[in-house]
Amino acid sequence: MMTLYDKIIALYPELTTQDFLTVITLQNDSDGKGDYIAKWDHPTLPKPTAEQLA
Amino acid sequence: MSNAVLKGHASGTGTVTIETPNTNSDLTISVPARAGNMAVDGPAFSAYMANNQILSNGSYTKLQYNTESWDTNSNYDTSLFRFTPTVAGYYQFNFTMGLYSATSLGTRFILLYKNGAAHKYGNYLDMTAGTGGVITGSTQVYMNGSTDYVEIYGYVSSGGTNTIQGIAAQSYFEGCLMRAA
Repeated sequence: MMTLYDKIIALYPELTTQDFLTVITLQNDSDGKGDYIAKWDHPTLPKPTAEQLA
Repeated sequence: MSNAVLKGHASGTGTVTIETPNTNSDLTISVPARAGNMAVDGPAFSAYMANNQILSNGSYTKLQYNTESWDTNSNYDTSLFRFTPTVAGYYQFNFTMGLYSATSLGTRFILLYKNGAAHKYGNYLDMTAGTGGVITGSTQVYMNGSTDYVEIYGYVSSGGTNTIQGIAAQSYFEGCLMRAA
């Protein structure tokens, strides 16, 4: 099963490891709700929609 | 010259005794020039992971220290994996995760969150496939004794399945009051 990270990379393959340490933050609060996008501040790529990540 | 007053409480029938140690020396206890309550014993806790936890790539994940070794003030929550002290002051925290069986290259690190936001980072480790190690962090944080809380998050940049070892000696989170506010 693809993780949220995998789905975002599949959508935007140009993203780098550094992007996920700076302009994008994925987070999981161990509350049973899974990974989510806590921050999306990429200068050029729009935040994926729920449909794109489904 | 300032004065010293011992004041009994209007309610209650008990007797509070101030007892001196067995000494032949003259000793002076200096009281700091500020108001407040004396903290005789501050909160202290130690919790660890009793179960393995998988970290997904690229996601800051709260670490599940689900078992207590001690929690003197019942301020640690083993369901939320969170410490919310009820005594205001400056706290010392230590936190670790034992991470093994990394399947490929990548950066791993650990960090402390305060009130839901990244606050202080611990060490990071660039790992090669099939290796592992204990990643650690240590820091001091001011806590207001009411609403402030801290949690520990881990991060792996890549490498498929990354397993934090549910071993008390390798994956733990602990803290104690250093100095009351």
